[in-house]
Amino acid sequence: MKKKFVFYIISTVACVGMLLFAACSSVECPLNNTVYSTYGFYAFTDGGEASASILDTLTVKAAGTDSILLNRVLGKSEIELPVSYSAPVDTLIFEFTNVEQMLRRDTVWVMKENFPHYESPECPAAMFHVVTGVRSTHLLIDTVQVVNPNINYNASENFKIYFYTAD
Amino acid sequence: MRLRISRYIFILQISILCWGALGCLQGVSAQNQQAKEAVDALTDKPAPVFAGVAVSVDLVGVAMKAMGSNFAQMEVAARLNFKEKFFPIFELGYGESDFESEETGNVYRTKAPYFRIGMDYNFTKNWRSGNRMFAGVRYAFSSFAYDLCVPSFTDPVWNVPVAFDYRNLSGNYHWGEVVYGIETKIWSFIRLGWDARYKYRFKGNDSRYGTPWYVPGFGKNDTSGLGGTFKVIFDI
Repeated sequence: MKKKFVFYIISTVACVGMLLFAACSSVECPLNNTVYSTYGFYAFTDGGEASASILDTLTVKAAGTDSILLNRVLGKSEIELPVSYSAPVDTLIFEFTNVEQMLRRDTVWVMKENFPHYESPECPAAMFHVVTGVRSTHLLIDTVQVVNPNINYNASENFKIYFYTAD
Repeated sequence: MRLRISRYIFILQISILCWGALGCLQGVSAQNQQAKEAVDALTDKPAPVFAGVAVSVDLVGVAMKAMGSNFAQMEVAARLNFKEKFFPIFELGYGESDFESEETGNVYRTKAPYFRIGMDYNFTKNWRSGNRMFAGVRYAFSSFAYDLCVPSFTDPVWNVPVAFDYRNLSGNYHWGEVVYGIETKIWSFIRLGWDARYKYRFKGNDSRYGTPWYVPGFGKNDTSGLGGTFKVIFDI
């Protein structure tokens, strides 16, 4: 009888302990719930392609808004830009200003599908995107390629922008 | 001379006493041996091949629901008993969650049944003691519908508000469980027992709009998780 009582007590204590352990859970939400698209800059070479740093000052604006997505960057070979939550097409204006203060613009249209991403009730919702197509004007930009169509928390290069070379 | 005779008598008395005591001890020892043999004969008796059926109710889910937890699952089980060693078991439950976060206003809702099927093995040697210590495995499955509701949030660049309210999204999950538990007989046909479980998800299908936060029977959605039950068991 005593053994049974001890057995019962131990089991009850263990069960309560387990419940307390299970009750202590933490929530890990992403620190930033905005996803960014990543653009890498390249140039075609004889052997294929090479990463290129932009020599002009680059500013990127979102058409239809007064927002500047990227302001006066120089010497970068990769940039990150936010993506609209619900628009089917993002129109991005790339403004290149050279040392003589000559301004040249290219426009990039990114076609996409938007998906809400629900991580948990305790975390803010985010929008994920799948790129369905891309096109651009060709003043300085030769070609834009989609490398990874999925724009989400897994940051990786989504687009390759090939510029015309100076020669 | 008188002293010598007295000594002989004393020695004789001691000898008789010792002989008697020895005989008595031998008698007690024989009785003990007989009792021990009788107990051994009783406890060594093998358990019957089919030793019965038991049903149980999990109290953890009931307690979680009573305490207003973000999710709860009510569960009953039926199991067979073969030779007090092997316990094939079927567990049937109903899990539900209706949770609105105070911080974000996000809502997650689901309610659906789930089942588990598996087997426990009893490690205790003395099956008549009423105590059992067992380990087991389970295969579990749940198919469920869930709601994801998010209040409006605004695009910081394009200034367009976005909200979503998806109802009846469908999901189904398969998972396995490794179980360790103990139980004891409390009175007549009533037992109490608890178990701890490690759960591992085999496969999960859900909507592209969002993964379920809580999976009925599994708990908070992840590739693996911990759980447990505290059961009242009725031998029938």
